[in-house]
Amino acid sequence: MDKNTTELLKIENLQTSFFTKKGEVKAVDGVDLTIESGETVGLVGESGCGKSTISLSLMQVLPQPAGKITGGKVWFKGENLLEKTKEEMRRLRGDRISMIMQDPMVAMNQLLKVGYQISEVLKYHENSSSSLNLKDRCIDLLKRVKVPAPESRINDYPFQFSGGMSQRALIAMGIANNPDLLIADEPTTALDVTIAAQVLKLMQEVQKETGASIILITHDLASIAQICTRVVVMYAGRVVEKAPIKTFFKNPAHPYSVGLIQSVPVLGRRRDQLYSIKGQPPSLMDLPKGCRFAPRCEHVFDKCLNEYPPEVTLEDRHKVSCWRFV
Amino acid sequence: MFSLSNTGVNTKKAIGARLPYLGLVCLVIFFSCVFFAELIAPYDPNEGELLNATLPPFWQVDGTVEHLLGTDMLGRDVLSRLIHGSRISFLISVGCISFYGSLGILVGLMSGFFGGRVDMFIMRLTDLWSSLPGIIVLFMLASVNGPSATTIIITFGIMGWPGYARIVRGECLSLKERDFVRLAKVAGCSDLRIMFSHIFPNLVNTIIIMATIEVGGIIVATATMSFLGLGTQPPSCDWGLMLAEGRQYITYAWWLVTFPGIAIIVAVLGFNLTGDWLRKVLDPKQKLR
Repeated sequence: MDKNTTELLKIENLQTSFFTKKGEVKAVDGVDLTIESGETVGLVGESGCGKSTISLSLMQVLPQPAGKITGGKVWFKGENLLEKTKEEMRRLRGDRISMIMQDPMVAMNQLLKVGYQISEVLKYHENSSSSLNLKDRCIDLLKRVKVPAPESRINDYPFQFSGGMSQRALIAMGIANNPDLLIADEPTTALDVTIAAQVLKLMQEVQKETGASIILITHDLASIAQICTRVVVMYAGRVVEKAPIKTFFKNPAHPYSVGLIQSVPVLGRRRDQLYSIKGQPPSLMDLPKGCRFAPRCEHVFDKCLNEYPPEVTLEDRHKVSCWRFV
Repeated sequence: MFSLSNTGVNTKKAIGARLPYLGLVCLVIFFSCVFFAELIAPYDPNEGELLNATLPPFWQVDGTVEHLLGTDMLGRDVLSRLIHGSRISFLISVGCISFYGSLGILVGLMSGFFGGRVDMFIMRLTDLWSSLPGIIVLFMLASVNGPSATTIIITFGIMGWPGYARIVRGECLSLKERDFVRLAKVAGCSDLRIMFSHIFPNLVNTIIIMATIEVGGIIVATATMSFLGLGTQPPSCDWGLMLAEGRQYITYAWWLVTFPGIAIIVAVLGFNLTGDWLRKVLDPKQKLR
């Protein structure tokens, strides 16, 4: 069924909207994205550009009743996820596709023991074995994510865990059934820098062990540089640039990517003020006709304001949507 | 010295400072009557000697220490009847609350969790239901089934769930958008499992608070029903029934109506004060105020 056997996930023209009282908010507006087996893709962009909405759409856990997938196809191992029934999706979630949530301190149910919450992921999927060794498997999982003294920790409540420990426990839940795709939605945002580095390293190790693909959603370019093989840049609900990691940091093509990289503070470089991209991202309810970045772009010309640029391939696997390269 | 756990200290202080001593004393009296009625009550509540009929309380001229709160027109000991009457109030309250509480929780959870049309339908149903006059329904049911404690429980059960449903729905609406619910979904939990093992534990505080406060209301309502002759029937020692029976003798045997009235006040006050305190302690949003 696949044209390419290594292709794990293929998103075609995905459109997701939130229907609010004020009108339709096009959070994701025609995104194409391909994830291959075993690769780690970083999804960057500023707050509200639709990164998280993509992950929620993939899992089909959009906030109800406002969120709705209005178009497109999501091929996962050759099957369209959007055509699956609720029950089929439930079986897939936590099993083949899993997700690591943003804020570990609020992501877990404070009233249930950590061990119980991890065991739930194991329990509700067919490939899991009898409940006899459920406890052992929880302990084993916590061991794999390097939680010290897992035997006693499984009986703790989430509030007894520190932020880093909670995030590890969440990763344990994520990898419990050896998923093919792990979506990490800003897994390090709520953590301090040293813990964040440890968590990223852990994710890398986990990936080596399980061979899962990872989508790392973040606005932190440093974590992308640390573990990703490819970068996808989003702006106002659309993908503006896709590039292998080295190309992205050496030769960013889209003016927005350039701005992003420039706005990262570099240790030892003297600069009076940190670079920032001028202006605000457009309202998703009232999008400009042409390129969405045009109002803030330094290189803007007439065409940018009237027509959305097509995707151009610059070199192998480096694609950009910008009129400068057409 | 500084304590390691700052919040722990605050919670302790909050609990200690606002302990509802009066309410707790009332509840202790009430529950000792409920659980140890046989041990405490000096006489059988339903047996009286007609020779001793309408004896006044012990401090009055004709009163004896043998019948501390006097006797009624059949010579039954008022104190013993009050003590045994607490059981009826308690059983009816527990019956009502577990009946309509579980109904309301179930309906409210469904309404809040599924949202959309289900929610719309259930909420309009609760509106409709709340507009039914409870007393008329009770009259109807009592005339069909015959007045009894069971009738009271069934009627209150049928009439009382909308309140619970609304509160549970509101809580559920805010809980279901929380990250832990999304995590449970992402982990592959089914809707039912999310409702009952993830959202429900978070509702327990609210449910306990509501139940405690509602007991007071139910005790009053039960007494009202019995007073109107729609509830428990003689020779039951329900407080409302005692009030009704004593009413005819009010001009010369004031103790027959006064003491059941005081009993009702003590029980209701106990539950309400304790319920308010529970709400302050268990509801963090309230605590901040």
